[in-house]
Amino acid sequence: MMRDLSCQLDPVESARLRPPAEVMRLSRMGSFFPTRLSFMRVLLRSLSAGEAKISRAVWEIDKNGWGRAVYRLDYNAAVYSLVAFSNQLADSARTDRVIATAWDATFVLYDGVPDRAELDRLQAAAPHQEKGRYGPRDLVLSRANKSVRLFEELVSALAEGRQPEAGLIARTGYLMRTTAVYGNGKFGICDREQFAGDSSAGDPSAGDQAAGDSSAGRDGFARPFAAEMMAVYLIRHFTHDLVDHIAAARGGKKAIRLDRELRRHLGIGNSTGLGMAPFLVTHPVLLNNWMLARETAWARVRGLAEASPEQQQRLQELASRAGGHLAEWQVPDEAAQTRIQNLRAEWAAVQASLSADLLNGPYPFAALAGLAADRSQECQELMLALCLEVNGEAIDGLADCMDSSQEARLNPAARAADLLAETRQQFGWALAVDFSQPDAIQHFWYVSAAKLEPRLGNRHLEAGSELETPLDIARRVQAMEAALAGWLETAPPDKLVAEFLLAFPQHRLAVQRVQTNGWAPYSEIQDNLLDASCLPVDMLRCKLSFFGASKFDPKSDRWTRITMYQGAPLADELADARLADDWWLPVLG
Amino acid sequence: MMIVSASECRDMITKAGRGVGLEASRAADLAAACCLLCAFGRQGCQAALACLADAEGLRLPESPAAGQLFWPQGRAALEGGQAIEMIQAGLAQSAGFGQLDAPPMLLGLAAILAPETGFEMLAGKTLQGRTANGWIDWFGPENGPESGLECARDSVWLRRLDRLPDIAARPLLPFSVDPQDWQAVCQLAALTYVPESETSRARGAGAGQIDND
Repeated sequence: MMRDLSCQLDPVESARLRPPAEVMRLSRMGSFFPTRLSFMRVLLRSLSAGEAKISRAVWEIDKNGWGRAVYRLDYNAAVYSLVAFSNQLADSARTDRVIATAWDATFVLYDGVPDRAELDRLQAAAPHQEKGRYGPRDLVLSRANKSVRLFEELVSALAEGRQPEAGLIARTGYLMRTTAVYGNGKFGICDREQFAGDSSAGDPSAGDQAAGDSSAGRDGFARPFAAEMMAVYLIRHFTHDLVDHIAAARGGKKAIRLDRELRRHLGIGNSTGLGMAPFLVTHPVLLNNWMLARETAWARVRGLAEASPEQQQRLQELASRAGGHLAEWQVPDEAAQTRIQNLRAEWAAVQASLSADLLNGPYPFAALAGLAADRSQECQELMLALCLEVNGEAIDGLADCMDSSQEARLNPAARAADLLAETRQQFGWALAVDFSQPDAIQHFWYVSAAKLEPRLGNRHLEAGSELETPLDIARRVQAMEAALAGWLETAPPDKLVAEFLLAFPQHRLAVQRVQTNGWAPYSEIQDNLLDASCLPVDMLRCKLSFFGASKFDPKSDRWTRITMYQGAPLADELADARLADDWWLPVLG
Repeated sequence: MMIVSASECRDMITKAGRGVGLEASRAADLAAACCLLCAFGRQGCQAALACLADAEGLRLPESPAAGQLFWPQGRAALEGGQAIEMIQAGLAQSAGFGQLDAPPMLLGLAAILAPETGFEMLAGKTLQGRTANGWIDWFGPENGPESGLECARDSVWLRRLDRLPDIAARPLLPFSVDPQDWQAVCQLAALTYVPESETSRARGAGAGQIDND
């Protein structure tokens, strides 16, 4: 049973949590690294523990690599399939933009094993992605484009009987880049509530889990984005097989298979834009639970009185590996590369300070936090991730607390005066914004008519701000506070929130957010998302780090490329629990 | 009929609500209630559309008797939602509507807004139901799935129950909706869409890249 973490915090740990005012700032959220609580890591541990078996059920791929394939996943007494369609695509049509209409490959994660008729149905729809219509047996829809140069280099090398240059693989890190991974009911595909195990218990929109339907027993996909992460893991497997297959077709007897270690270092790329950013604002309780689990883990680890000799050794190894990973992390963007270079220098200094005395001393993980405290936020967050990494036993259970069946709630029975006090106490950051300044309201978020995707406009230059999406939480809370304070000047002190909202119904969302923040303290990003200085890419990095992505490669202030599953175990290595869980910030060689 | 997912339904009704000027959180609650009606085999989209025909402003109630609120003309998404919250807050025991645009939606909203409060709704002599723990139990002469809006819209009463009723109904996913209703919902949702500017397009994901790398 999934639990809401806010209900079960240990008071000592609670006192040690970093305050939301420190954590929920965009600059810090944009400095996150993947941790062992990230969804990909949790999924692979679950696959390993659940003795998941992945096999290739259909391979109708021609010598050019075009055709269709099906991978079967047996997991937790259920069967799923990744259905892959590989298509010929002209270079001129290859674009990572969400407005693209054709891709090198398209995919569906399917509930069960598709028969011929189902395969044909998916083949008619999936290559068209958003223009197709899907059904309740389709769990995830995705597409990907080749990393053309690396793909061709690998095919050529393997066809000639040689392994490709390792440095090339380390630099690129993937054979294909997904440009969308759709789940949870999009375009008619299965609702998450329907397949997400018991997390939907008590949720009135949940499916009938008790009736013995095909959705029963899917505990493995109950955690957030587990189905999407599963699909991406299988897509990675497909890309590995595809490059071997084409090389074999081209090279004949001369051809060899890609070396296992090189293969492991090939993940899946992804291009992510603004579509992902509003999620963190529109799912405040879920955001709270993700952050609270992460912060609880960090508080718990900092409270450990000692580190075992094994942990100390592991910590040294992983700190060194992280340094190697930073050295391997190269991006074209100058500002981002400068940040990485600064971090490399900081991390080298941190590594030099990892003395036996420090690690043998009392509360070693708190001491490690102290080592990073005066350095950049990226360095601090990297230290957090490192310390969590060697404390799986203490924190891995928190992964079960990262879902939520609850949503933002209004309490109309609360006293209006209490609401005012709560607003002033918790939303000082919002009340301090001067919204009369043009820069403070420069951005407006909207949904584009062309692709039905979130976009960001400039209020002072572009039309459409009257239709903006309500992500302006700071501005709304400030307006609500002003109205409430004025109303309470003449209203009796025992007036209730319901009465305030009868007089000021336009402030209901703001009231709901403030009250929710009272029991979900990490539910709000404590920055003005309309401000000219707001960098949506920080929201993307936060969310993607929870997925487990690494090697962030920002291409502007509002989209980034990333790598997923780099260094992760291969499908036939999942049974090895150590391999399945030892791929944090991987380094080739 | 066409099949839509709960996620699609929720997303589109939320946008449709905002499209006609419903306050954002009320639009989200309407969408959740719509999904609940659909999950219980009723025409939730049809009821939501009835709510969206007139969605601006909030009318103040009369108080004909102690513990009672009354609106001669009520709208489920607005005065209905407010009535539920007034009852939930203990400011009234019951709320009546001389006329109500979508009685089934009132019960859906009660289940969404106050899941831990038991409610009973009587709509004339035709539609009746109870809520508890976020679920709905329908009863009365017109208890079929087609009875969505054909129930009486006159003299609708919502009453708080002292004890939570035992409701064992089971919801269904995905939803079966009338294609015409769905099209109308999508049209209202489209009122929130903005044409992309060139500036925005030039800065979106993938922009400025040669993707054959």
